Amino acid sequence: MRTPSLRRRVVLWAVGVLALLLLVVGVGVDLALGTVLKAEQRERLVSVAALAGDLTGLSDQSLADRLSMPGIEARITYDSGGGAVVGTPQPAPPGRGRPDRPAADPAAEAAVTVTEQDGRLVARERLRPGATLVLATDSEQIDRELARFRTIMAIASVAAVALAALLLPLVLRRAMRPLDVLTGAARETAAGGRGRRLAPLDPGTDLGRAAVQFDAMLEELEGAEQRAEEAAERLGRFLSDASHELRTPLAALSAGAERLIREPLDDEERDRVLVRLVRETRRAGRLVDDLLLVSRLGELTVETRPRSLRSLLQEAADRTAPRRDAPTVLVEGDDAVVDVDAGRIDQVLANLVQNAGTAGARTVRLAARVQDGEAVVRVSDDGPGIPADRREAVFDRLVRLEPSRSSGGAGLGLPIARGLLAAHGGSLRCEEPQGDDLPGAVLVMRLPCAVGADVPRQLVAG
Amino acid sequence: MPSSARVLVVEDDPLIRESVAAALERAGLAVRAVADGTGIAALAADFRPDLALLDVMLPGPVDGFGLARLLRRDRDVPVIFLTARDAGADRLAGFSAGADDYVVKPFIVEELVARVRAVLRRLGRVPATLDLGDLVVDEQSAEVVRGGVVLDLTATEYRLLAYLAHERGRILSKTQLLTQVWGYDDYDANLVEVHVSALRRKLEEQGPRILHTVRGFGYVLRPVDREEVA
Repeated sequence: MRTPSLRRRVVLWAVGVLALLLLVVGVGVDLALGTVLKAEQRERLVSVAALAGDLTGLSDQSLADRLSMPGIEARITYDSGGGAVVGTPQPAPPGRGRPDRPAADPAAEAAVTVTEQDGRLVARERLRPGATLVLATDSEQIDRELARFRTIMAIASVAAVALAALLLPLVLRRAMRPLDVLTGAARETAAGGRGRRLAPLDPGTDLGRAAVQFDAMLEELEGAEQRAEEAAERLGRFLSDASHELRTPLAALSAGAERLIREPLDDEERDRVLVRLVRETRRAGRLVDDLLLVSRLGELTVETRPRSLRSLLQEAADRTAPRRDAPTVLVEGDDAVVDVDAGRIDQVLANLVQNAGTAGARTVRLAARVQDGEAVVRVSDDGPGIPADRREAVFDRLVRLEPSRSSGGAGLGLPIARGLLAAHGGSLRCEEPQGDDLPGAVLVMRLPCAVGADVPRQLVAG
Repeated sequence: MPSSARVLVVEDDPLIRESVAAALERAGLAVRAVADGTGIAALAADFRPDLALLDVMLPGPVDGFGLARLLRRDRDVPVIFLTARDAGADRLAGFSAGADDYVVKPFIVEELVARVRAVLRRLGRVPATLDLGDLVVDEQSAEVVRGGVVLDLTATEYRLLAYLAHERGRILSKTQLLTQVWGYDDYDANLVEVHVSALRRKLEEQGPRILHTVRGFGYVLRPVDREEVA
């Protein structure tokens, strides 16, 4: 953006326009004045010629002298000889500056012919056969008058332009005060000030529009700044929570290993500690995996293949069955073909079942249903349930309803499950128990059915 | 011998709980270790702990800070917190909840035991001196006396002797000595031999050999009876 001084620019333009206007007016008046003067001169010429008809009984010389006057030269030319009588201006008779304009005599005037010659008006009148009165105007007279006019005009113009150039900056400084306010607000904001708004009284004017846009920009800027701060704070909290989550398995590993060094244990006891060490190590490893996964959930891509939803649910149920601390998993409902990354969906189901188990559920029910081209799986359990006001919060990273560590979950299971389903174009929500749901927590997962395969399989088979 | 000092441990991670409890017992303390704060009031009334070792983040409705307030309301039980958080605010909350000490995970169990003993010693719940026949180790002043003569030991030699004295009669390997006295960084095992022989020389200026080498196993401190010397 070019940024010349607005004040200087406005002054220059205004003065320029003023000068141009004065010039145009000057030229226009000059032309008009020239025309008027010329017409007046012609009229005078004609009236002087008419006067010649009234003056009888004078010699040619006297006639010529009488007719000569300032601005008009009178001559009498003869057809025969080449000679001519040239009149010289006589002192005007007392009390008469110039001959009275006689009443227009059409007959006399008809005898006068006026032509223009070399910029001068020339009137010819035949006095008698062989003698012609020639009256010529003095062109310089008009020129002189015009020149005087031009001089006055030029001086006035220059004075006007100079005055304008002097006064405009003062006026503009006042006019541009709102701009200074705007600049001040911007400077204040740039210096770290927040919450400053211009709040224009009339948002319809040009400055008002600029002020409205300025306020909107500040609003957006401060909003973005706040969002960035919140994001940084969330990240910081997440990192702190993550490191805290890792400290516990590390402390357990360290304490267990130390015990092996310090204490004389029998083989049975030693193996028990070693198994715990391995379990604790794997837990820390899974935690690191989950932390990495949750940190890039947004940019996850999945490789999908059409799979039977029913068999995915059944596999998840079968896998958890042998574990002593895992709840019993029931699979019910329709089958559907879904385009999924089986490993990821398995992870989702494992997280949901583990989450239920952590909360204290002994039974988890997976009920599938096909609805509007979507496979809907209601995952309900007989645990304590999730209060209605916490149903969205459970999807925050590292949120647990009950702060505990040994119970297994690091609070990453649900956000990961939701993220993985979102990567499949599906969703995960926590809802109120209804119908056949078990009375505890209810998590509803939705997956789009594979294209052209949204009919339940038993119907196709039948 | 007076009844040993009692320590209550509340920690939900089984590996940490068991390791800490075992180490405290080995240090001669009576230990009751539980996973959470359930029935803590009754337990405290019954066990009458001299000190409580509390994990901050516990399952159940009451966290470590809450348990500390509970314990201190009924009886003036000193508290050491175990926590996975080391944020300043948490530390402050720990001390305002009446913490006598604050240990951040992961920690070295032996260091924790030393802190527990330090708090108990301050309260007079464990004797400040270890009495081993003609040898007396004063843990308060880090002074060792044999046959009435104060030994001029370096700090390392003192730590070595204190560990051997605590574990008297038990054979300690070079690794056990190295990790206990020097820590878990990568040290040269010869450090143990060098310092053991220096310590042995200073000990034997005042009496017979009590620090023995068990070839292929390590070292053991076998105190002599005072009568025997006399």
